[in-house]
Amino acid sequence: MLRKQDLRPIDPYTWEIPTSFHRQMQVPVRLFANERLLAYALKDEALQQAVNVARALPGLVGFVAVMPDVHQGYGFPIGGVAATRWPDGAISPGGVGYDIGCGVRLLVSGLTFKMAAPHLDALADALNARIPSGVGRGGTLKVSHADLTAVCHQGVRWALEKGYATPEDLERIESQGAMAGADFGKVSQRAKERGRPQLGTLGAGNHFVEVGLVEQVFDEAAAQAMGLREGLVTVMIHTGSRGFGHQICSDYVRALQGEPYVRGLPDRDLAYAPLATRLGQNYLAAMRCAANFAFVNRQVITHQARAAFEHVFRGVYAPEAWWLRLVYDLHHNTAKVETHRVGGKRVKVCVHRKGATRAFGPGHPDLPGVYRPVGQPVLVPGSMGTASWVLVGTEGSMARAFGSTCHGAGRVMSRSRAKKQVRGAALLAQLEAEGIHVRAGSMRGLAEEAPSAYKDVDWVVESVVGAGLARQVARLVPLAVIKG
Amino acid sequence: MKAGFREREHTADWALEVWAPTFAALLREAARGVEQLSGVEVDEAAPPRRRLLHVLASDPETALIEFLNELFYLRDAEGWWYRPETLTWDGQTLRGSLLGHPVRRMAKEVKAATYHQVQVRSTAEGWRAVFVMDV
Repeated sequence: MLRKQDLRPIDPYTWEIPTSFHRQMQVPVRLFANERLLAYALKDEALQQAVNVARALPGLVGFVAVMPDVHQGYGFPIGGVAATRWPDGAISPGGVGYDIGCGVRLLVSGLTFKMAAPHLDALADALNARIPSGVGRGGTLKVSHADLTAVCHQGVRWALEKGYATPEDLERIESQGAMAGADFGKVSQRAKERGRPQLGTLGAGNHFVEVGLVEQVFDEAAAQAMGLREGLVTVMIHTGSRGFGHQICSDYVRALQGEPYVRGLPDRDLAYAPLATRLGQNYLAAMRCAANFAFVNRQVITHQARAAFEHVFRGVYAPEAWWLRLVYDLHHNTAKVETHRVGGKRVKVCVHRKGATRAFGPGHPDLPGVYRPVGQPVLVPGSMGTASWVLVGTEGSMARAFGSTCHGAGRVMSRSRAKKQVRGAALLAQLEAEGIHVRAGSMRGLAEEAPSAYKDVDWVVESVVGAGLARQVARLVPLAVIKG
Repeated sequence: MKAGFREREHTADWALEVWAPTFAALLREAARGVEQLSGVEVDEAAPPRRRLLHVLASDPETALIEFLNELFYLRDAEGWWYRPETLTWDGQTLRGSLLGHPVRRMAKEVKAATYHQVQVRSTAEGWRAVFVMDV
């Protein structure tokens, strides 16, 4: 376990573990956190895992970046960013995670709290009835082999053809809802069988659909570009690629175990493939299939959420009030080939973001026109029952963290301890007493996700803003939560 | 040694420690631990389904992780939860049969068993393992 004296302060929000900490470190580790979150980061093995990445992954560029919501993962820490040189660096499935393409989507309605308040219970029921968790049973969508192929290659364009999306939706999704270079032929039959019944399902764990309210706007121009105003009702969706991505990650982690270069790694889940090898390229192509599956999964759930809003509010208010308009959709578990400025030079790199969000600054050509002047929207869900944030990427995130920032509150307490300390039924009653309507698949699962098991999301946001990795746009508070 | 398992502290995921007198019993206990932690409820009245298991694994850690991942694959692909009937590992291949029932409901879903810090060791009393699952 690292100690505070192993880190060198650079500024109040940036800490460095220099390469002198371990003779095998190729690059330093940089943690972006205030003092309080630094103390949390030192409590588990997260920083040691970041050091292990700095030791093990060939072709690393600059530094391994660690976000303030970091916590211990498997192999790589959750909240880590590692960039490897293209094409002679490496790619690691563990640097993306098992839930490939896990991410967040934000939608905004024209409803105010006053308009929605009398209907929140019915709305929670309608969302819960229409959005299957899929846990152990799969979903309701019938997906053929041809459909799954198209989902992987076309991403959300498939959903548009099927009537689950609007043309406007596509413009407001990272990579326009389809990562290029996906190849269904590089996905195992087992992943296909596992993924097909699960498209359009939420899953369990920390995945959720949350109805929220824009409590405060901090940046009028950016909020206006996103259609956010104080007092408007929002919907946030957090899920990923379900069993499809889990199986792809498992398949490639297993395949890599036999490669000679993984021997002697500090952790078997750090297994990697050189980008230039067939295995490395195959993983990238399969990973992009799962990333596209995840975009479509959130799109289908959006369709289900829109149906729920229509069911509750049709005939009560005009459609423009209850229609859910997409603000943005992003992945926080992915690897992307991007160009960044490192040491004064433009370098093409493969950026692993595991529990970290892309946060491109204003003017970046990859951003849709509407967001190019203000920067990329960044969606930071808090723990259940607490606030969430909308941020935007900055020049600072480009210069200091490969265009990346935090992804959430980040766990601080183990699931086993949370279950011992929190009773699901008591937590449910407490949230209901606070006016938050909760629908949960399991009381035990609810206890594991108790707010006390997470860091304070406001500290996380203070840290990334202080470190210059993002700018505040709006703070959201929850009204209803649907958990698988 | 009597077979058993207990949950270990891990910030975000599930870590299990498992012990048993034989390696086959260790795998069976690991599956039982996962089933219990996940709160799997199956339809015991439905006619069971049998599947043969064949997993290449040249070390006990790989045998354990790939055995569990086989159960997760079958759970999602078929909607059935399988319990091991017979298991033998000859140092290269894990073979056996699994008996499955339809899943009625589950409290929690494991995404995968990981190789992160996996340990399997043989002791004078039997076998012990520690492994982490992504949830």
